[in-house]
Amino acid sequence: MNDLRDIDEIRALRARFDQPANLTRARARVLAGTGERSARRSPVRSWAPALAGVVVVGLVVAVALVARGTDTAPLRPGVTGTQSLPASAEPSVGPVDVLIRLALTGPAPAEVRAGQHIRSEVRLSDSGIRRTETQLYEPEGLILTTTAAEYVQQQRTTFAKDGPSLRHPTPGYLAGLAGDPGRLRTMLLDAPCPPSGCTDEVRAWFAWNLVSDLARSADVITPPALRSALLRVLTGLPGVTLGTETIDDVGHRTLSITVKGDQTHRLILGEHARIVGALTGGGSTYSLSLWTTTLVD
Amino acid sequence: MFDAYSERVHRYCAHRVGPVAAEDLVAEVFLVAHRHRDRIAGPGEPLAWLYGIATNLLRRHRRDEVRAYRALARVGVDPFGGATGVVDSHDSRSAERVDATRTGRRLAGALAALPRRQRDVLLLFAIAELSYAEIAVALDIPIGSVRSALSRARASVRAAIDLPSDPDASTDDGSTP
Repeated sequence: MNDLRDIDEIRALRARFDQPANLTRARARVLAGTGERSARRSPVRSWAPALAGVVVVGLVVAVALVARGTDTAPLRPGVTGTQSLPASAEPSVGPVDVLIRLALTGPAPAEVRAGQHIRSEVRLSDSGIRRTETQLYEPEGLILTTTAAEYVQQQRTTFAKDGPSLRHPTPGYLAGLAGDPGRLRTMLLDAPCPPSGCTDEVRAWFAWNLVSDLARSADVITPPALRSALLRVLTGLPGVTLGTETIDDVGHRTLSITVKGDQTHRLILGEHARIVGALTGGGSTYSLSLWTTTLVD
Repeated sequence: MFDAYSERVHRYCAHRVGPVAAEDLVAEVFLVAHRHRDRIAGPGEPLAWLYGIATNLLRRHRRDEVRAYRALARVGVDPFGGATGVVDSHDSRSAERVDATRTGRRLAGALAALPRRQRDVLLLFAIAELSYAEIAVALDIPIGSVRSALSRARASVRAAIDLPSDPDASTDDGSTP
């Protein structure tokens, strides 16, 4: 078919998605997942304009929206119906140090019996289109087993070679970390950086990812002291201003990082200031995920 | 590799499942590629291979993709953001805009109705701009299957948007577009 009008129509249908994407989040995930310490082109070069200022515009906007009682708060499309967040009995807005103290009152880690797995259920809503994903992890090393056998083996090899880490923790390791905030801070700041170096914003953004990954897959075995310490370290990272914001009318809050020129990234806090989800983007284009971890036989 | 190809892979994924999910998919594509980097076939560019990984990962989103096309066809609003967006904003060309929107809606309906394989081939051809041979590599299917799947998919789409069947279809030799 030499007449390509049909092909032109297909290209035009979503041509608005053709503009270059920043891909900051994808790049960091790839760098973290591959263990690469450098890239052919410095990520900072392309990230720098986008990360020039880490701001809390989202805080102002969300609080303003809630104050106006509008239906346009970014979480609202996903909060209704089956995507409801767990209710919070805590004050609607509190300073960061209140959240850090609140996290100490959370539930103790579940005791893991032999043969049990961590079941992580992730309820996703991509701009209103919902789906649920379930993953199983071995508690010792947080080995994802619901994936290709080759990748399972690769994780086991890494865990056996390097020992426990934030990526591959054990229940005992997590319990020990809670009492060593300095070490925790060092680990969270250990972002894969290009040879030219990392900006504070890149490191902080990497830490945000690390903390959210841990909450999504290992919250059930995480001691409250560690949850609190993670919040303390995260909110104290240089170059980042983290703010609390109320995102719905039952008082759920978020910690947000708004990256200039990129999407807004928010961690959603549930009861006891536990991290129960993440929200990226806003308005009509957003990605909301809510996490639940349990132990299963 | 990420710097060289991520934009193009993202564009392809965004056309299919929206830009938000596409960014996650791009990360997954390159993580999978990293794990299987020993499988890059030959000295050529790995783009077709990356598109193949992306297309495999997109299968997990097939229902979302089809649902979005159906919604777009039904109400003219794309769940992945914005209206059909075929023609620009409200100006003096309102008649053209309505017509274009209708075309976009019909097209979305046709894409939703296509069998998965045909949709994969068609969008690798149209959005990823791969040649027949590259699509064959990406999907690990014979080039003849690419040719027939593309021919059928385009016939369905052209019928849906009121374009005549192309008389040159029979001379199609499967060469690079």
